[in-house]
Amino acid sequence: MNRQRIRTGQNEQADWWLGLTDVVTMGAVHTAAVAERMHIAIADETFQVLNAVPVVRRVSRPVQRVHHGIARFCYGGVGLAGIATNHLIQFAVRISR
Amino acid sequence: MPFSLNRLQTRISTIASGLYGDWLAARGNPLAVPMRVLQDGRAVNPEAPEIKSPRSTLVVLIHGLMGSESVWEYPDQAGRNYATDLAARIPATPLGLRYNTGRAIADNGFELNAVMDTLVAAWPVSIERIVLIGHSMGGLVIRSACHQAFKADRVWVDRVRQCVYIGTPHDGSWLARNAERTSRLIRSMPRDYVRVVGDVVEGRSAGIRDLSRDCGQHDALHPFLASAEHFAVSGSLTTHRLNPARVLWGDGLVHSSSAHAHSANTVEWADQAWFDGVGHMELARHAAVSQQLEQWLV
Repeated sequence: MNRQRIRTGQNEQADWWLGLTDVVTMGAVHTAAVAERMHIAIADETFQVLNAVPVVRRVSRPVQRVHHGIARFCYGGVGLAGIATNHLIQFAVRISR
Repeated sequence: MPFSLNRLQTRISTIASGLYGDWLAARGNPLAVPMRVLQDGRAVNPEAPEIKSPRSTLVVLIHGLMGSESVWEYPDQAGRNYATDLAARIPATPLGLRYNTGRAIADNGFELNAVMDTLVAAWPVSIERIVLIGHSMGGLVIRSACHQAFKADRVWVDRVRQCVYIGTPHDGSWLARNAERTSRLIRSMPRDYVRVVGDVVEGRSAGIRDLSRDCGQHDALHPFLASAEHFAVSGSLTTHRLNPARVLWGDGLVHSSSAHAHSANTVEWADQAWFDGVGHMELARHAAVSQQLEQWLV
């Protein structure tokens, strides 16, 4: 997001709320990325133990892939929703002025 | 004090700026506090200052990290601060500065140099004396601005007669240094779910990072202005000299040795003062400190 996208108006109050929205939505994007990294890293601890057992490995490896895929999809979805909301609000404010 | 949305918004902006001010400024986010000279809480245009009875002496208050001009106000005495007290005695025009404390100290010093240069040139009467009073990080911004003005041969810096540093971490702040060390330690851990916490801490602003500079680094980067008198003020959490809280945390954020720049080679203090039992934030609005300032500056 560039300077022009946010500083669109003369109304300082509206600009302030716009700035807060920017921080909240980008904060959600960042938090989702951090949570995803943590979630997968913690899950890997368990999967590493399971993958070390030959009998369980045949099941645990596909489960790990599915688990990570779902986790990435969910957190990625939250991140994308945050970015989309951010852009939508900035766009709505721009065309309303 | 009645609820004020403006005050709350300013508070949120100053905290956000302190934590992520460089990021906010780079995004052009309106929460990034722009540098403003203030009088009675109102912004002064440095190019055309409209001031009630302008004087030839300026007393400028510069707050610290995550602060605003309200940090200087005495409890339950809105609008009264060290500058207004001094202005009544000197006489002088009391001014305040609000700025984005998350930016690097050198960047704020650069901008303050430009603002003061413009303000002094446009001031309705000829300025003979400037007194700069900085609390915490504000003191380092003063050093940086004066040094950059001196290097660029700016006129305003010749008018700076006294600089007062109140709880200024000349040799860094223990809290910022510990944040730096903790972040480095956590990021060296083998587990990714631990390292991610270090990455979050690592996201702190350039201003906070500057406060973790080791002893002597500020001295090299922003040497004290040789032509001015310099005064140091420090506080402490307790009155007892050997109390562990005082030894560990100083005034809460800055150790006395750092506030008195023990490692700096470029300063000869005109005078120094220690206020036992006065914490870091209290130093900016304490009656005893005010009396000390009057002794030094009036």
